[in-house]
Amino acid sequence: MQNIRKQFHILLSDSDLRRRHAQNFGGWCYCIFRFMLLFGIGFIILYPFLYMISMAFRPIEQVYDPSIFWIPKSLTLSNFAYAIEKSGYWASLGKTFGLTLLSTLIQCASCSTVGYGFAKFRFYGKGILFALVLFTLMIPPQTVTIPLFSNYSNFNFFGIGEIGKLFGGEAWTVPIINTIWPNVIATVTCHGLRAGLFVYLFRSYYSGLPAELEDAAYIDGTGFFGTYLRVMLPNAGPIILVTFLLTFVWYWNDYQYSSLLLNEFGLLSVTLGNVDGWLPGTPSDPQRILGLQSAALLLVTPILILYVILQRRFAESVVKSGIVG
Amino acid sequence: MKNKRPVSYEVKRRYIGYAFIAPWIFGFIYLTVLPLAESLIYSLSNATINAGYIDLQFVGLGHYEKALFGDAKFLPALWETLSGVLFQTPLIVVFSLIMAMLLNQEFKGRVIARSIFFMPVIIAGSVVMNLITAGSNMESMMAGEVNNGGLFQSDFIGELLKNSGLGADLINTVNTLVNDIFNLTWQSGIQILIFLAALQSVEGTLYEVAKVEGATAWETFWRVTFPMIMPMLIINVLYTVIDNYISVNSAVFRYIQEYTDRIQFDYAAAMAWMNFVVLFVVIMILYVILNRRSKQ
Repeated sequence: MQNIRKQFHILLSDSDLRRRHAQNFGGWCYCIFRFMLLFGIGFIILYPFLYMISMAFRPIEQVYDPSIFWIPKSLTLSNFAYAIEKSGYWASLGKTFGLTLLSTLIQCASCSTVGYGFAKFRFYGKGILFALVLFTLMIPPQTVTIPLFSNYSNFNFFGIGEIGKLFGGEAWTVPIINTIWPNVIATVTCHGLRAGLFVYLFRSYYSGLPAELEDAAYIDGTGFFGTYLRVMLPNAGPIILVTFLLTFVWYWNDYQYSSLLLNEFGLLSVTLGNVDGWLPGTPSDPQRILGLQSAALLLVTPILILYVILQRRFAESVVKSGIVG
Repeated sequence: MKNKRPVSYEVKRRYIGYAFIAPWIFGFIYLTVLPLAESLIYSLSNATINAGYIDLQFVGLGHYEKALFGDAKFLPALWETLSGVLFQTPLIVVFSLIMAMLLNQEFKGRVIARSIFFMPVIIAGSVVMNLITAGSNMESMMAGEVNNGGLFQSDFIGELLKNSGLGADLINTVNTLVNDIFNLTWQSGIQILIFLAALQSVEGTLYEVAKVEGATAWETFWRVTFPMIMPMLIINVLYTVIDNYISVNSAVFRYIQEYTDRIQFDYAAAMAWMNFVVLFVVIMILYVILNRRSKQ
């Protein structure tokens, strides 16, 4: 070994060797710099979580204790009991989970279908329609939420209810705010939260799949929808995962639409987000501070669990999913 | 005879294509076009709510005039949002590009680092963050102020600079930048994701060629990486502008929300429309400029 190294050194001049050492040293410095940078920024990202956890388990008398740095002297679960009792957590949790899961599954299905339509078929006005898909991402929600609120307060079945007027009476209407229907309508028609983004992702993904697959299936006698369901959809795993995770999380966290259309449905984000509605006390009241932090932890835990389960495949999927097209 | 000929494969595919996107077309009409039109009508009328129905009386551009000339708060809020977004966007895009390039390299613990860096994607700007920040010292931290005490010892750097005898202005600038990094990291989750995917899609052979030809790392970045990820750069710029502009926490949104809460839908709709028009114009200008640049 020593011999070989000696022989090898003969081939390299002194200046070469010096440069190689310098490179090693530089690379080493760079590694340390990269670690410091990533560690520091990672800390900034984790900081709110660390703060939340540090506070949520703290007994009330230790809130303003200056001698405590991160780790409380003793742990307690009473903050959670307080937040759960005040906000009616368990009742909301089930409802929120059910509605979020429903919205997410429908959104995955509808965005995939529409994305496939844009990717694999040629029809008149396709370019303009797709530009309009991206355009929907740009509309500030407050522009459309108010009309939606008034439409859903007296929902006339997309105009069909107006027939009622023909029979001499009022239009047939049903109030559907504070039910699951606003979300179902939005997701079935591919207008859920940031649906345009997912249509874009699905379209780029399906465009990348070879057309031969489809042609083969068609020649073998599979219909268009059969081809989509049985040949193309099973290949879209990564992008479905990305859509599922992001949609689930965005619906779980949503406040903008839900606070208006589903205000009394009992969603967690609305119930807990409306802090003054369930937490008494002034902002500096220690009980309130603890209540807030434990509520935040209660709200975020389910999606953190989901994220931890999916995160490795999520990171891979993003890379594979061909977001880039 | 012609009518009896079977429909060709191509024509059939066209109809099937419409069938696939039919749900979206229906939604676009019912959930975008009609509400937009309705809110435009609100903004041109006096709206009063009567047993769940909205009564409208046409008043023309009155609400727009009021917002532009009679409201001391609307234009400043709009300007605050717009200038904030235009100032933040380049910072966020450059920052997320650097982070994506770091996360694209091979090193131990990359999986953990990536999953931490993607976390803002799932939490940023949500109720969770509002709950954590409400009643903690982080509100001031996110606003870029140096706070005293608390868990985050960000005044340490300020102290250090003060003791080193630098001017107060310089210290303040550095402090603002340092504290702004919190905002920056928390708003770059999706952007890092998009850049990372873009970087992965650049073909390895291009880098090999650059290496064989003796290009330095700097040259490789500007001649190979940068042109290849240019389309994603444009998307990221536009995404950042839109996302920050229509966020719940923007000054304009909060101001409009005040009126929505007071059920003054007509005036809120007028402001929301002006807000929308400004965003649309900004996006179009940015798109044209960036597209022209990338073609050169």
